[in-house]
Amino acid sequence: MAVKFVTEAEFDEVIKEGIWIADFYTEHCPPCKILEVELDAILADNPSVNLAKCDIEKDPALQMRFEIFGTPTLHFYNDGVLTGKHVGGGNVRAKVEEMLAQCMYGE
Amino acid sequence: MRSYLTKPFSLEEEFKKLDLSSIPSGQEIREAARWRLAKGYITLADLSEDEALQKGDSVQLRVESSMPRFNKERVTVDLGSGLYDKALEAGVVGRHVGDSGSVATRGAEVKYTVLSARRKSVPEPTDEMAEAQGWEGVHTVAEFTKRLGDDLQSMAITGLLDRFQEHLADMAEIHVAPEDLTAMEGAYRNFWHRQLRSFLGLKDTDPLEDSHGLPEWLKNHDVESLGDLIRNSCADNERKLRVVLAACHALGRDPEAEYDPGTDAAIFINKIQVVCDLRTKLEKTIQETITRRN
Repeated sequence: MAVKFVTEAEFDEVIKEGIWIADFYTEHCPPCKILEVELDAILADNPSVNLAKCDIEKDPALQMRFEIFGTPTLHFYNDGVLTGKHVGGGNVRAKVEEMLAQCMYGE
Repeated sequence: MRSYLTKPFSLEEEFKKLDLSSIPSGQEIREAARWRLAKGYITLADLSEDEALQKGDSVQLRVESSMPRFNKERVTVDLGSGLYDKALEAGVVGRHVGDSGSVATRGAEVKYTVLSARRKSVPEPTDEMAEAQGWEGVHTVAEFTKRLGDDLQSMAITGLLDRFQEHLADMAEIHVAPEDLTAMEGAYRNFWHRQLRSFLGLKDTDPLEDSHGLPEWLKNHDVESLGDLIRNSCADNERKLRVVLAACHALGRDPEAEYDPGTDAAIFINKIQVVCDLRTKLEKTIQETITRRN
């Protein structure tokens, strides 16, 4: 498991191998903080999954490139291939796990 | 305001119905902080053939069956997460690297071989880890735990207050005066008039006219016209009256003095003073309850 704070310039290199969740967030977004609690629980159960933390305020190029219109937004990658997106926070553990399973196992 | 509450209630009794278990305890906060700090430093170590697999291990399996999902030369599975298959994961727990076996799941027999396995090691959090989070004014594990705890509790309390407000809207029995609803709709109309003047340059137009197309910036409101937008905005006005009247009753305030349904203040429920005051009072009560609990 890896957790990395990622800039736009580093992004492709970081997520090119393995299962990655890219978490597009801002420091002052309460739903992002709630989602992070859910992500923590998911990562605790899934040590093969990695997390790329993408602060779109610190690096607006992330927002431009990935067309992030709201936070939190999650992108799911399997060996660099985008398999799904989720927008919004709240109590979304089941939804995120479903997208993660789809990312990992393709169904 | 002409509407009024028709059945009094006890704020204390209604408050008792709130489930406070969603507010994290001190122990839960310490665990959350430990994990949050350490998760970026977790290492996965290969397991030998002598060590029995356990929940939480990450294993590589070869699987064979009649189903494509379970017919792969190599698949990574985190045991116990349930993301791949709960029955298969449970069947593998207790086995060893190199073992083969089979489980029945989803109506088929799945044969598996454990190719390799890794176990996570979670380090104890350090002040360096806390510093690396980049939170302003946070340099130690204790400071990080305090800040995270405050954030988590604050978010949980906000959620509780929102739910309690919904509960009030559900349970308060009121007489609704039609003129109050008309006044509230007028407040919305005025609000959107101002918005339209600012953003679209429209003047002397009635936003309730459906002939206006929907501006791009409003399309995420899931409506097709400005008229729809205002009608949707007004859809919960009766619930809003219930909340306001319940809040007035709970705090012993006079609704006539507290709320004018024809003004801007009528629009946003969480900006109405009596509602804010009730939330503040309840938050204090919740804080006291947490302090006693911890």
